[in-house]
Amino acid sequence: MIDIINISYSVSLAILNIVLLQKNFMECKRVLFFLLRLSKINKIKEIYINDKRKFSKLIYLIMPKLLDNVFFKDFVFFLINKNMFLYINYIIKFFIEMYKKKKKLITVIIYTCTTISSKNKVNIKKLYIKKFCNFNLNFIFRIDKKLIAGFKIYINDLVYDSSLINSIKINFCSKE
Amino acid sequence: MSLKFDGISEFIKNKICKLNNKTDIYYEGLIISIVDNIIKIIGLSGVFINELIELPNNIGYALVFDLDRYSVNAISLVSFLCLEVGMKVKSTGRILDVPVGNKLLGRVVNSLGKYIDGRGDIETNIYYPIEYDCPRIIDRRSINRPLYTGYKSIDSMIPIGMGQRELIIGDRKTGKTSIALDIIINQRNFNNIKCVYVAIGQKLSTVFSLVKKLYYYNAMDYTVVIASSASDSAIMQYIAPYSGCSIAEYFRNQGDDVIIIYDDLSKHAISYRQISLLLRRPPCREAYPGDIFYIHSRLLERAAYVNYNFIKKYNVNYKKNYLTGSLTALPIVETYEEDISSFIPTNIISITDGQIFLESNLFNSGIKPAINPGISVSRVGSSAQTNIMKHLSSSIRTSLSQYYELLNFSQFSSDLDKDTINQLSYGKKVVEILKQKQYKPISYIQQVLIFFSLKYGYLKDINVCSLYDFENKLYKYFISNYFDLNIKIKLIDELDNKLISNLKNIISSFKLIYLK
Repeated sequence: MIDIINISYSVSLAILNIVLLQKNFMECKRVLFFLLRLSKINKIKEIYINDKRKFSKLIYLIMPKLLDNVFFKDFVFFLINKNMFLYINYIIKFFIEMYKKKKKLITVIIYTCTTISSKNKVNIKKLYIKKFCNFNLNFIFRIDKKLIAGFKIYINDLVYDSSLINSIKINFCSKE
Repeated sequence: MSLKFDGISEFIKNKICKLNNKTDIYYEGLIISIVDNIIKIIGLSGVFINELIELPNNIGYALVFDLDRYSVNAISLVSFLCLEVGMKVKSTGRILDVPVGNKLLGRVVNSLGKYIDGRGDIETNIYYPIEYDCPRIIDRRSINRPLYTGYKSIDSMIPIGMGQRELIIGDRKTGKTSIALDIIINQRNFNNIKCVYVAIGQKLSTVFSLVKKLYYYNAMDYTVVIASSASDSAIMQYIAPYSGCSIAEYFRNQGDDVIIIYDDLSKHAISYRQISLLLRRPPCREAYPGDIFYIHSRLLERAAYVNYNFIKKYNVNYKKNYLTGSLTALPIVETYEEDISSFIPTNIISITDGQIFLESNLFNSGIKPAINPGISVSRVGSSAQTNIMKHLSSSIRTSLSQYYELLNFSQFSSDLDKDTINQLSYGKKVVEILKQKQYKPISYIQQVLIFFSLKYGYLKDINVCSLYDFENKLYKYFISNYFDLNIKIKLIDELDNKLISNLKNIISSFKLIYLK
């Protein structure tokens, strides 16, 4: 497991470098998500586990475009031979994170314990757009009942934690 | 027992209202690999080098070592066995600090400042970061106060000043630690001198026996021992001298004189090499990383003799405007087969203000301390030496080198002229005088008396084998009969004619009694 995550990270880093060089992010994203969707189909999984040659033929039949680009062709070859096909979700996760960092894309995830009204959502969005005027922001609102009260905001990897559960934890730890 | 639910809810509400509800701001990261205490993390985009990272489930902390474009490498300060890939870590925004204060005196602590002597918690609220800027040029003073080691050979030929950095170098089993230990023991005769002993990569049994010796000689009252044993992780061994230096800096900032001993920096370099290789940093000469010089130079540069204005910064209510603080560093380096041209010894020789070189040949031939006067130097210490000592010990180094030269020649010829024989016997006496037993550092007055006797020819008719006895008896005679003169010698700096005649009379009268 340790190696798989580490290898996924290295692979995604390599993909990012190639994507930045070839400037074909959208195409790469399409291919990666296509492979991700395939990895979730049980029948295809079975074929992949039992007969890798058959699996590779199948992939090229479903998406003949893969053969056009040397990079994609090699990438699929690598995934199949190094048994990394089932872990493509890690590769995609790291790849997207690194791409966001490179392109200064910010994802703002707001966790609350109750639903926020649309008016409040607009206000929050305005606040952050004003703060990060040079960046492209993507807002996601989520509900997490574990917070008990308050909110938790993720701006990429920066966290503003103002939840009740966190303050209880802090108070509890300091008393310990 | 009946439960009152209204009361419970009221109680919880009150507790929640009283909670300190502050927004916690931090960077979050995800562990993607753990190999030999090295944790690779993605995320944590806003952390800085040497920042502490909080590990999950209150396991402990890790120290940031490498910042890549998309990932961070940190080294766990606790066992990595309880960590898992996929765990989330938090940044803390602070760098590693250690507890400091007078409560640490007499204690044995680890690299993080936690007690390991089984004597309970150390109650102190003051914390110093382990990495700290060294005093600026404007905060420094030139070294002009002597540090008495209690060794005749060091105090006479290789004098050390307060705030100096003097390297003790030599092969294994040549008495490096013994010298350091004796220097600590000798400080019991002086006020306001604190000692910090940093044991890096040593056996805990060795550290235990060392602490026992310090207790025996009442030296633990003013000493702090920082021990990172050979069983500790490389990171703990790496941070030990830095935390020791921070503890010493606290005392210096209070206006005290501090001696810090790093035993030894070659093991420290090895631990840093281990970390660097695990971090996949490119190895250079002897597989050490490129910044091996910097880790030692920034550590030793923190040793300084600081002025009043610097002390005042840390002590607002400080009223005495004449006291200053100093931090004297005595790093120890172990060589292999007396090769001082290897990487770490040459680095540290170039950083420090001199070195005491110990030779195994001398040690095996019974000359202890086995100091080689030829290549041992003190670059700034002579300005700290008192004029009396300077006057009395000026000829010792030359006479010793002449003696060793003549000794080689005398092996080839049987007939020697009178001058050569005299010179050889004089040299033999010098060598004998400079010999000293372990844990027996001697006072400044005793040194003055024996060097005075040597310089003014009072030892001509004393046998080589009875020199030790003569020295001890002379000192006892002097202390018991001329106590006023003892204080006078300590206070004055010059050896005037009156004092010379006084000392001559005393030694002549003692010799009459002794030779009877």
